[in-house]
Amino acid sequence: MNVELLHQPDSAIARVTLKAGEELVAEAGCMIAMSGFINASTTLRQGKGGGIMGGLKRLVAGESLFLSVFRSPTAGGEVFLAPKLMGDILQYQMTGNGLVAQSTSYLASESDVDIELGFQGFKSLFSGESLFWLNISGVGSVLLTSFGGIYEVDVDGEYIVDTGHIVAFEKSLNFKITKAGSSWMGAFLGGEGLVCHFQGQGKVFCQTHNPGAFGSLVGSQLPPR
Amino acid sequence: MTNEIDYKVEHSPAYASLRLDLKANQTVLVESGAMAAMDPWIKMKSKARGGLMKGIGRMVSGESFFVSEFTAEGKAGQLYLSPGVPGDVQHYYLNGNALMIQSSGFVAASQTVEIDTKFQGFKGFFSGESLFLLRATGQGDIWFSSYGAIVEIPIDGDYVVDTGYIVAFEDTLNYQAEMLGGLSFRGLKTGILGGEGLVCRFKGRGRLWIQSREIYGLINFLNPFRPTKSN
Amino acid sequence: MKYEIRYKPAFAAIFVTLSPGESMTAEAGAMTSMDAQLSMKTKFSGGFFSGLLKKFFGGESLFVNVFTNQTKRTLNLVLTQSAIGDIGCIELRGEREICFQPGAYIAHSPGVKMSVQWAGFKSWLSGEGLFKLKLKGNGQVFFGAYGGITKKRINGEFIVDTSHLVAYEPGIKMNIGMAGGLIGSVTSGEGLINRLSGEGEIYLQSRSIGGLVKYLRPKVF
Repeated sequence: MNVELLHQPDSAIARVTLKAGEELVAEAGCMIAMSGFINASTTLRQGKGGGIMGGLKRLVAGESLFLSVFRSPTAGGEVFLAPKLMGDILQYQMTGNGLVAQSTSYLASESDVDIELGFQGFKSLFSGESLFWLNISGVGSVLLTSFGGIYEVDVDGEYIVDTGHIVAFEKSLNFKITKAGSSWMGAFLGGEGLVCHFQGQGKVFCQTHNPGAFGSLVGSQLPPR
Repeated sequence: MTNEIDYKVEHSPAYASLRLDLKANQTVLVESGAMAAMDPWIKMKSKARGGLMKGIGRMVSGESFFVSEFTAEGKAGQLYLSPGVPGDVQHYYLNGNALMIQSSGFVAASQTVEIDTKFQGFKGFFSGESLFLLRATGQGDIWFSSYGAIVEIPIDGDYVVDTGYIVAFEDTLNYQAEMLGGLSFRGLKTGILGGEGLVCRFKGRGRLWIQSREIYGLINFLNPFRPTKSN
Repeated sequence: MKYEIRYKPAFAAIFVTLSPGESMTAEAGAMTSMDAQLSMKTKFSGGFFSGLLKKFFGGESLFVNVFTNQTKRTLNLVLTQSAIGDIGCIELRGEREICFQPGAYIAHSPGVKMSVQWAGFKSWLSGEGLFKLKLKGNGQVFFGAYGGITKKRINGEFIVDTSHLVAYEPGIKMNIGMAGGLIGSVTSGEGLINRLSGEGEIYLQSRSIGGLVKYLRPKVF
């Protein structure tokens, strides 16, 4: 399949062109538009991590319960996909190495990529964010989304990232959740809460903005539910 | 494309703001609440657009009931307009033809343009999602906004679009709203708004503008951050 | 100190490079990512009492974080804001001062001082906050907006919707009032407007959180 990313980083969308008989797996509800002859079906993903348990696991991870599968009978079928929030899209090529991604960052993937709730969530105590991570393996393209622009950091040593700003990281890195400054007072009051301390060698993909912070800013002014 | 009122779109495509340079005594119709800044000699008058029935039609569609008229009195003036959501602003010149615009997308128009509300779709059972369109006809400028960036797609044949992403399209296209079963995941009560699988099937030739984000995505995201009602 | 503002204007973020010995002060929560060797200390913003004033009346957070490079090599830091939008940098020198609306301030370099100034009751009634945040000194100050930032020089009078004003020079007088009488304001949806008069620079943002809330309100239930 051919992926073209448009309107980065503001409100990036992916324009996927499929070959005859090719399948695209995407988060349900993300299709903007598509050629009239493409078949769409929304199912529980089969295979590794699929079936009912797999679907339930993904619901717990904050992903929608269903994935949509788009299949083009002939060549040249087009599907436009959009993430739920304003932000960027990253196309990452899986080559058999593992990638850990934030649960809400999954957008779409080729059919040979496997998505599973691998890492256990650690609740960010201070901001109330529950973070769940997806364990991505297999071969093929995976499209990830971010809230904000995505920037890549090549870690060789140590690097700190605020937990709400991590999109994905290569499994070759060691990571530890710690407080940002030297004191716990700082962590509580400095608003940084918990940060992720990466060590080793590998890539980290960060997003410039924190959905939780923006959500509170706007959500707190909406009518109560 | 020609235009009668001078304008400039700034900060496109993420937070596009429309700056109108009005000539002396020129008037423009503006969506209620869109004014961000202006020269003090621009006078504002609010009106119920198109009479009571049409006004109510707008209210039902989620648009506000009123439209304001801004006139630059005596000398030329600048008017800055900002839509409510992050996104782009697009200009179109109507020359006797008709343009269909998504109901919450109207920003501004010349006085000589007629706006009519049409209900096109279905009210989704769980989500309340429906398709409301405005039909703009006449002669003059019209500006509409999007949530996210705008992508123009020239249609020649058969095309399917999720209704939440439609910004505007030329009236020369045949369109039909339908539920695409393969996209619906409303089987479970997941409390998610949207996701009905409501799409619009276009046939024919004409231009279609789609936006790169859909408002229910933002609404569902913000839901957990809303204050909870205390009894 | 070197800085670069990337991803303008949609998701502007400040990419800062601090040389050994340099430091930068930023509001609580602004740090996105940084080299692990940078030291971070949390302090009350300008002293305890001043910090309290800023929090309750100025809409800013009570705490700031000071990032210092105590090593021998250059280190990197990425800062951002909770709103999505543009970030601007103002160079302050000598007598030049700038006032910010609540929430706009992000960070500043060591030579700049923050102070809180009385804004008047009318300002508080309109939701602007009782105190204004004022910055002065020699250095840079970073502020953020929801939307794109437009800089405009005014000379005389100019009308601004209150939720779209971000920053302004102190010499400019504000007069907050209704857009067009009581009925006019309700029907036009314009609400409160600010009639600015004087001479100086103002910064506007092309979106407002209030505008977004108003747009979403009829759609949520």
